[in-house]
Amino acid sequence: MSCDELRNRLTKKNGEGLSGNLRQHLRGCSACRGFAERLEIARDLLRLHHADVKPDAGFAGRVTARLEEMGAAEALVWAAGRLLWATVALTLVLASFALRTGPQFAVEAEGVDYLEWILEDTEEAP
Amino acid sequence: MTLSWAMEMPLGATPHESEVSRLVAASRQGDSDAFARLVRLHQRRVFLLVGRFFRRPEDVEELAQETFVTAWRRLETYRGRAPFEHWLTRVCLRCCFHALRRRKREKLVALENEPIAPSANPDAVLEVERLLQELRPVDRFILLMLEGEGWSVAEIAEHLGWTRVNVKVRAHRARRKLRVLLERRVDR
Repeated sequence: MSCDELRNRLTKKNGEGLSGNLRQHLRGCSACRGFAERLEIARDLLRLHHADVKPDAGFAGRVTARLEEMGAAEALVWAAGRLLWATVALTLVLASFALRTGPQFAVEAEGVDYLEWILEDTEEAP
Repeated sequence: MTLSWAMEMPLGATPHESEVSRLVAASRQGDSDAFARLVRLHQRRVFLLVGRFFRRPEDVEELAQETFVTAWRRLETYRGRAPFEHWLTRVCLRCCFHALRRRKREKLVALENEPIAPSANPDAVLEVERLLQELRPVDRFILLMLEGEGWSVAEIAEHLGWTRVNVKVRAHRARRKLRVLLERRVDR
């Protein structure tokens, strides 16, 4: 068994027991023994790593307070978004109203019949 | 103190499933008092989970809060097919994973007075501790579950809601990086 093969197997073994082949190689290879020792230490460190922090009595209150703050902020954003859309919609309505009715009112105000004007102009042309 | 123990441990006065279902339903309607009750029922479990991945108490508090805030926001995705604790565990692990991805380095620290390979050279312990700090947080995340908890690829996939292929690939990368780090010292 090569060192590469052994180290691959050791890394994957999840701390399980060693087979005969692995033990035999380790007996004869100091570099792999060193690697195996460090791998075991690494596994211990990973296994024992823990912050050991417990929640205090006020934790649930802090969570709900945070949710309330978020709710207020999100409601504000939601309202601002709605206001923006309402403004855009109103602007479009007013603009379309102005475009449709503006020239018509102008024509009616002045009492000018543009069709008659065009026909008169056409008839007089040489 | 393992995550498996955390997920199986009784929570003192263990709530009946119907009470949890009632609290979840009320929370979905916006009842913050009901949600606060859910938080109190599950906060110990969440702190144990988060404490596996983060060292500083303020980080554990922050991630625990983020877990419950995320749970509140995504409560409609809980369909009730599995116990609420399983769903909350998944939310918690995913929050931890995403938080670790945003970080560069996180020092591993063991509980005080816990034996670390008692026969090992103390210098070797310090050296390996230093080498592990060079792991990317996402690699450490997977290794903490594989090596720290002894979970299988299938168990990790189930807890996180990831595919097994995804977990296998991440596990392979993390183990390869661990091996490279440990060999760096051994083979010089």
